[in-house]
Amino acid sequence: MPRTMPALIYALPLTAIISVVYSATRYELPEKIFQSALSMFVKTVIALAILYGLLWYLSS
Amino acid sequence: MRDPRINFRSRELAAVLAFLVPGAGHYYQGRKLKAGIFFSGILTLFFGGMALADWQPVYSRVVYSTRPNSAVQIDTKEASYGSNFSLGYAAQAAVGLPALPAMLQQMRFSNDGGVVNTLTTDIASRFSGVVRLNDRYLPVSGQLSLSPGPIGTAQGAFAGSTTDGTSFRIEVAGAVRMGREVFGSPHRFFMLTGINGAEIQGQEVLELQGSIDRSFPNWYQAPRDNEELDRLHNKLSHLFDIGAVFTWIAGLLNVMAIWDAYEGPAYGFGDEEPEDEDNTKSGTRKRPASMEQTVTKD
Repeated sequence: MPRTMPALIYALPLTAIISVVYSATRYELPEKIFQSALSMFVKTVIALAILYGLLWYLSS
Repeated sequence: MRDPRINFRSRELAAVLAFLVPGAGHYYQGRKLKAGIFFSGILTLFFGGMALADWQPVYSRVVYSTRPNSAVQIDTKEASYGSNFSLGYAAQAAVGLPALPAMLQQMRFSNDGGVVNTLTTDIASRFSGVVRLNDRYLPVSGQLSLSPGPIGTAQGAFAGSTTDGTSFRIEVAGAVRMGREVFGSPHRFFMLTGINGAEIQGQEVLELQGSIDRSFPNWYQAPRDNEELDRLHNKLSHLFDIGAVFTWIAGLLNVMAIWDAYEGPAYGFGDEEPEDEDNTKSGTRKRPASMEQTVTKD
């Protein structure tokens, strides 16, 4: 598991940038953009964590 | 429907600017926050991916080598062997100017004549490879300085060291052979044969074979072959793939940004009132009062 952790770290900045840029293409108002981006980021990270946990459980 | 509160100016020009430099189209339209988001977000992703992958994940074509050790010395014109368009570049190209050098390098690569057998200018470069002695090959690295000699030859000096730390400096002259000028690798194949009169560890040096540095403008975003990709994977492992994915996603995100500059935000301005039951049934969406007033005035 420790060997795979560094690679997973890259998912965080990637998810953050995708969330902000994607939300900026959906809305015009700054507060709506950042609210939507934060929501998308949290949901994506949770989904990735669940997926990773599931794969880790199945492979252990 | 485009929101009348957004000043799109020339939408076509904005889209072209957004393609060339992420965020530039929005800056032209006066949408400076979005310009900042697209510029910093997309370019951070693109150049972050480039840095992770040793500045080599962007290339327009891959050549498939079939001969051993052909990675560094492809000696025929491109038309003589198979090469495939890199699908990843289809996404990377959408980032605009930062990825366009690959197209220029593709043209230079196609017009390159292959292996160079004549030295036309002086060379001063690091060298890494082997020297062939009478009875064995000896791994060496060091600094190589050569000047053009009579046709097809070069002469100069090589100051280096062996893997056990023994330093040496030898005068060398012989027939030169170098990998093609434009190729997607910082390492350029180099070979000097027919060397006379130089000795290392009491043995005569017959040949130098290895690689010298290829200049940045000659390898950056240039086509490469599958063996060079194997070398990158061997050196960087998963980081090369992660870096490549970053650059692909940066390009795909810019496609959405270009569309936003041309057509506006996909879901609306962001201050629309939530749909109620009636609106949901009729398929319409309530606009904010400020927008209704603007529309009425027009």
